[in-house]
Amino acid sequence: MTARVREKLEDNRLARLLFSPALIWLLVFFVAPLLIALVVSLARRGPYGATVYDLTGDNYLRALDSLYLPAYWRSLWVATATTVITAVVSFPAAYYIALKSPLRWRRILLVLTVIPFWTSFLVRTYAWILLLRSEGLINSVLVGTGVIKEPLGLLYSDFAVLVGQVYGELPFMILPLYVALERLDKRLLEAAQDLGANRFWTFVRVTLPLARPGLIAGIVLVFIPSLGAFITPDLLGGAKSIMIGNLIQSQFTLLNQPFGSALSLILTASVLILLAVAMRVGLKTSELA
Amino acid sequence: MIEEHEVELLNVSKRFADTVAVDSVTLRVMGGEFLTLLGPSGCGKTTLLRMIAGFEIPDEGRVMLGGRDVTGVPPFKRDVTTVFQQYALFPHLSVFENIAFGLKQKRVARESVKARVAEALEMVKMSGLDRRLPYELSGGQQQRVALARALVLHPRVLLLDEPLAALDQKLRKQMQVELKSLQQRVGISFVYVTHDQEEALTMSDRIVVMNAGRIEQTGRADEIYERPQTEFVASFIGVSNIIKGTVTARREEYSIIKLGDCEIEALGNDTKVGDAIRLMVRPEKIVMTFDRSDGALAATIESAVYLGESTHWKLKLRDGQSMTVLEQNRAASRPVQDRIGSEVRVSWNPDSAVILKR
Repeated sequence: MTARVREKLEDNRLARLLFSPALIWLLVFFVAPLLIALVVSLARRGPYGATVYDLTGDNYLRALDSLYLPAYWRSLWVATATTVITAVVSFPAAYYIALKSPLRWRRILLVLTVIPFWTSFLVRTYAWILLLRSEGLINSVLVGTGVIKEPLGLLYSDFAVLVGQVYGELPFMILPLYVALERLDKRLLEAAQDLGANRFWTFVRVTLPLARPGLIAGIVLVFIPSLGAFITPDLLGGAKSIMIGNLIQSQFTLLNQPFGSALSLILTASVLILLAVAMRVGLKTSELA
Repeated sequence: MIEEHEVELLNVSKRFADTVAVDSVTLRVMGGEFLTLLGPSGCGKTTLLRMIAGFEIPDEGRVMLGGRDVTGVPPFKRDVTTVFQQYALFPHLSVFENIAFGLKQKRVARESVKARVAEALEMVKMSGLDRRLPYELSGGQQQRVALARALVLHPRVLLLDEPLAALDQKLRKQMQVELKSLQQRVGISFVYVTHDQEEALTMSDRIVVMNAGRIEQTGRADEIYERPQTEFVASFIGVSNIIKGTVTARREEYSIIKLGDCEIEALGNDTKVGDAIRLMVRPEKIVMTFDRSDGALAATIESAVYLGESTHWKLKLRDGQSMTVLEQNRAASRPVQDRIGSEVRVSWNPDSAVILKR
């Protein structure tokens, strides 16, 4: 055995050692549940909510029922709108932190960006209820100052869901955008100006394309959880704003595990397909690094 | 038609926080000339260049391009282009798209863009590499693309900010020659910033030596080297001996200088009898003899370094001042170490000794 072969074996051994914890975790808590869900999704709900293992495609057919289309549709547009709004709101912030802020402020601004994570998402969503409800802070101030006469119906609407979602996902967009913009060589911006591009064209032709990997990472990070969101629509959306996440959750509480599993798998598959498309369209492999 | 002055900087000053980067500088760039701004880092040469490009706006003074005042005009409205220090090629664009960037910005027709990019690539000997991305190019190739990208716009002036600094020695020499011949072919004025005296000497029509935000001296390479006006220029460019003496008389364009117990002639008559002055002599201009009969300056050899083709002698004058002599080894000589301690006579042509301004 030559030294090089031995070294390679050592490398393999090391790789196995380092990867095993994560691999085991994913196998036990991700792959296995997914397989269980697959099996359950092919089963049938028996009387009194028991699961009868039957090998049937009925649950998938039922998922196509027009009854559920509004929930799918809402999930899709809420996730899309959340992603678009988050991107539009995050870009200037990330741009400022990465390129314009004084160096000593940069770290503080980044910490401020992630500070919301120090509190549970559930608690923060409840806080939005206090802000948005009829007797809440926003309505009280508006009515009190005479801007409006009657409180606005802010809570329990798609608007409230969007507000909550954008609020919750904002850091997941700002951080990858920041990373991409921070790496941007400022001399490239000067070069663009030198070649006749004003601020607008410099942004369109240089800044934006070079921020693309960060933007795509942000879109993926925001869109996927938004598609399956259920806390925000549940707390802020009320009964009207059902999304696919709520649908799945309710199937499990209603003891229809097979249908819930089928919906979960459909959601997972949709996410994977959308992700694959996004990679194909938007992301060159060289940009993944 | 070439304007008489492509660029004029009139009394420009620029401060950053409390340091003065450029201190009331006036500079004119002629049509078709290769002008080099030479100086140590922090002397203000890059700031001066960035003022011409429009990246810095002078606190005082005016910037003129082709006779037009452009002091407050942003870079994208100035018809000058820059070759940046690390090239600053757009990493997401191919060689073609990099070079076409400025043309597209000017809304040049697609066919014309193709023709002009091809022409620019040809000019820098990069034809056929237009599909490559910058990271697929070597440093020298990136350099050429940066040149093509700037020249394709037919700028009034091309600004170059230490463009060869990132290249290795051999490539740098080769690019010096190419840059010079390119400049002569396109006939555009080049303003070239460098801290490398050799680059400045080989390429420039005119050299502007800068120090601490001010211009020390402007002139052709030979003027800068042979007739430095200040001690800074004398010591920044090449090796020089700077010797203290006293003026005893003046004759035409020369002054008679007393050095120890000897009198010599030196170039420069802007002196008064009795002035304590410094004069500069290049080590290779000094003739050293072991013959003591001569009336020339006496000195003792302190140390010597044998360099093959030449020998570096370190001498001490009678009055204690040191002096370096570079002697070509025309004939086979004795081992240099044997000479240490010997008394010698040194002399030089009066035109080789230059009196420096205070």
